[in-house]
Amino acid sequence: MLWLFGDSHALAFREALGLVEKNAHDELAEAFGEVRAGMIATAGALLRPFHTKDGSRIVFIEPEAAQRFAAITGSADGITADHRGPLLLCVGFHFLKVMKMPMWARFSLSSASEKQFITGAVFTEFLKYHNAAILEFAKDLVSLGLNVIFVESPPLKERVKTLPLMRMSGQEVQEFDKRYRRTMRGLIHSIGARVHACPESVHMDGFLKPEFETIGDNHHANAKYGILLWNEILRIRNKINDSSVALDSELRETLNGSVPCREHHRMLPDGKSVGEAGLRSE
Amino acid sequence: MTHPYQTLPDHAFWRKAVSEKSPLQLTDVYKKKYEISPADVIATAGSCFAQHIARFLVKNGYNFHDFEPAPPFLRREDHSKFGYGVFSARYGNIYTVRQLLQTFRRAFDEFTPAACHWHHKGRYFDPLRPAIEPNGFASLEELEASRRTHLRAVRQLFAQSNVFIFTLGLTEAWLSRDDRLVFPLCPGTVAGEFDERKHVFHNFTAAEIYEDFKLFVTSLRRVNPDVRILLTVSPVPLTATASNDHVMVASSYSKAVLRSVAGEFSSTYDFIDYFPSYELVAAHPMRAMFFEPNMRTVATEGVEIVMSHFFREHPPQKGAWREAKGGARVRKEKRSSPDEDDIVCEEMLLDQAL
Repeated sequence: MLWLFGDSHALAFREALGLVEKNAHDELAEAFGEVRAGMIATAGALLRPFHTKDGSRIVFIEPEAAQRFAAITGSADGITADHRGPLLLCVGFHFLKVMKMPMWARFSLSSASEKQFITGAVFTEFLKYHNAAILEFAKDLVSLGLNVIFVESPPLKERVKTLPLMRMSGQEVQEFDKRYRRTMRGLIHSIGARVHACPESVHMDGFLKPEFETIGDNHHANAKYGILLWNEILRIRNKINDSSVALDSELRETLNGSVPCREHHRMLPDGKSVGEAGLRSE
Repeated sequence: MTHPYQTLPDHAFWRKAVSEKSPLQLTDVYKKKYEISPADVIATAGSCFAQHIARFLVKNGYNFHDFEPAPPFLRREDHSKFGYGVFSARYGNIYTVRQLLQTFRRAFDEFTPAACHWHHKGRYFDPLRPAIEPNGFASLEELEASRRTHLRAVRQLFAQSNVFIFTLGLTEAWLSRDDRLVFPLCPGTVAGEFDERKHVFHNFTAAEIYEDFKLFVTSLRRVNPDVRILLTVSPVPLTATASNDHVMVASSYSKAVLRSVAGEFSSTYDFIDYFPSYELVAAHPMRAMFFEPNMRTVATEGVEIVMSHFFREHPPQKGAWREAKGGARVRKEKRSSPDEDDIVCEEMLLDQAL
């Protein structure tokens, strides 16, 4: 059984599940058994404590999250130690709001900027605190012996550089994205969970390829992106299922414009890439 | 027949000023030399004790300015760990006058040290701010970026402050044999590696400190002609001495020398004042009552008593206003200041290094 849930970035996966070809569904079912996906709360709500550990059971104390989680998974009892299968968490990588903080007019993570430089250690302290509720949640899941994998959010869209409240230069935007992801990966690994990075094939010059954008949205990717990710998950199903195997080989240094994007062609069992043929609606 | 002593005020006489008074009720110990207005931008530097002054200045509505503040997203309790909000810039403790002069000269590109970093187990340390990043910097590039930011803030600090408060802390220091670079802490204690071929101990004399401070004042006034200076001498004894003397004797020497230099400057220049924090804590009429049992750490109550003398002369500013750019008067924003628990004394790391 594979459960994927989290903040609004989980919506692309949810939508994609309804769009993938039947044979992909079958393959997902064969690889993971029952597959469920959906959004349990906004990213903001998940920054506050939203769960508690009750013996060998994790329950949601945030009412909306509890309700949505039950609706998605059919489990009204939260998550128990006897859960089988990977838990994919689309949380902890929703950072556009952080990027829009007024403080970035004065501060920068970029060593090339003339603004006041913030070191990696200081930024790590912030992320530990900022994402404390999420990290605690994952830590509790790991303590139950569950297979926990964070799924990174898609790359930023290039237009975020010109958002009215954006006080970062284009270079700072890319540096921030890179540092945020790298730091979170470190924190996640430190608690014994794994991270699935977004594939290089969705990048273009360090930003999300336009074909994966959601129209009128600055941060989220579309269902096509979700389908691509489901197929990526299928491709590495053995690693996903085996929590003792590091996913590090799957981690790419995201948003490094100097690294050429590598297309992942083996997407669906019929050999077609999802981007080419997997969308029913196309 | 009259003589000058007949007209002197009570505070000039030991019996009236000290013997017949409780040490908690001493008066006129400090007489200000100049006004400090709520609009004055105040910067602090020096040894541990300067942090208490900054804290009390903020609490009493003065415009203590942090030129290198913590990023707003960093939790308050994490500030001092990274050297934020401890002084007016992230330079850590500046214990000696030579180190102060060196800081100024580095900020204005008059001196570039040869030893620019230490490397240990994949992390990089700034020899001149060894404790500023508790686990060192991730890379040399990061260290250098942090240093650039820091020295830019220090330039602004020296150029824009109206009042610069400096607490003289030590006469002892470790220097690089190459370029006489002075380290805030002995290499090898917090970071780096001690090498007697590279590092040498020096106990500054009163004459050397006088010359260094004179050069600092001249340089500072060159970039900021109207700046005023407030000197204090830290009452905190040395954690350890490398002078071969008993640590109590070495402390006594150090404090006497620093007090002497401070006195000479404050009596010579109308823009340099001296605040007797040293006397208010460490002079024998105070019976060491403000020291913790280790006879070194100054208790909170002691700091409060000391600072009450300061604020008798510079009354607390309630609802203070400050001048903003363009002359507008704006309500002072709530600013952070070091909490009592946040006092950072790098010299104490000498004890832990043993």
